[in-house]
Amino acid sequence: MNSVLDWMETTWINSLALDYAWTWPILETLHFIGMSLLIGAILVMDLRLLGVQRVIPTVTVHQLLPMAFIGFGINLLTGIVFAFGDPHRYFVNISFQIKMVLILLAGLNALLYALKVAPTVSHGAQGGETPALAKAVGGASLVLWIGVICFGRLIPYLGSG
Amino acid sequence: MDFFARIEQSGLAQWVSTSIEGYPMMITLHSVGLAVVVGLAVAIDLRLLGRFRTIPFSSLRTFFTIAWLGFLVNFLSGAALFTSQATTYVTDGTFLLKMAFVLAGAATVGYLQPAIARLGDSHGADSVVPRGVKIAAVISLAVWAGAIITGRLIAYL
Repeated sequence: MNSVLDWMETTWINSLALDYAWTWPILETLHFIGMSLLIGAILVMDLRLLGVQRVIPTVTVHQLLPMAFIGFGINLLTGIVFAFGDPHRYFVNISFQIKMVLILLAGLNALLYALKVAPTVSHGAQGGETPALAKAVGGASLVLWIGVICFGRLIPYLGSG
Repeated sequence: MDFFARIEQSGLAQWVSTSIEGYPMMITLHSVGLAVVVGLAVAIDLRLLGRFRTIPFSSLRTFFTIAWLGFLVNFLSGAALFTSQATTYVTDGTFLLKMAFVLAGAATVGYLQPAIARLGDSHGADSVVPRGVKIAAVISLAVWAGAIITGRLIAYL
């Protein structure tokens, strides 16, 4: 583990993060913008899956996916730079570890959505009731992603090794 | 400045700045509220600019309500964070610029909410959004981006 973290510090991504004073604040700002895009999209998607505003056709849930993926993509890229920039700080940090587990669970939840829920809602019309599994996936998504924000923000304060 | 110095001595300010949980709790709430407010504002703005056309305008009411709840969370958590360093923040140009962006953002949301209500129940590809409302949506996107950028930079400048 330590040798991997040591190697990460020798990469060009590490240099990119540390050699320029403005890299970190710019990427942090982008990380907040990506977070907002992801959360805005999934709030509408998940609440619709939970049955809020059934006047929205369930097909809309699919139309919002690109906004969620753009937000997630921005945060994956900027997050990788943070991790390479200071690997010995992040990978031993309990809050970071919890955040990564929550992202993994949210990813599995999204997979469940793609395989089991999407086929049932992809041509849904207005007023459609969503199946119990869709409600469970929508609720889990909201809880997991809000958890990701919380533990991400708590990284500087919780159990830094 | 005496007023802000006294704010810094208040019980709330002391809790935020000296307790183990005060500052982390408030800054975490502030991040969740930020994502809710800006995320929903962006989704609504994009709807007005022609994306997600299957979303009926009437349904946006719910998302405005949730966005305002997020705004309330951030007003309260932001006020708590402010008390802990009131005398510093009140003379910090970056912080004051952020406050201007946040007020402008709230104003655009406050303008768009009744404007969208007036659009009625129309939805679908043929829904017409007045030019003024579209311009307000673009301004909304810009000022929320400004609020995030200046908010993050407070920690650096």
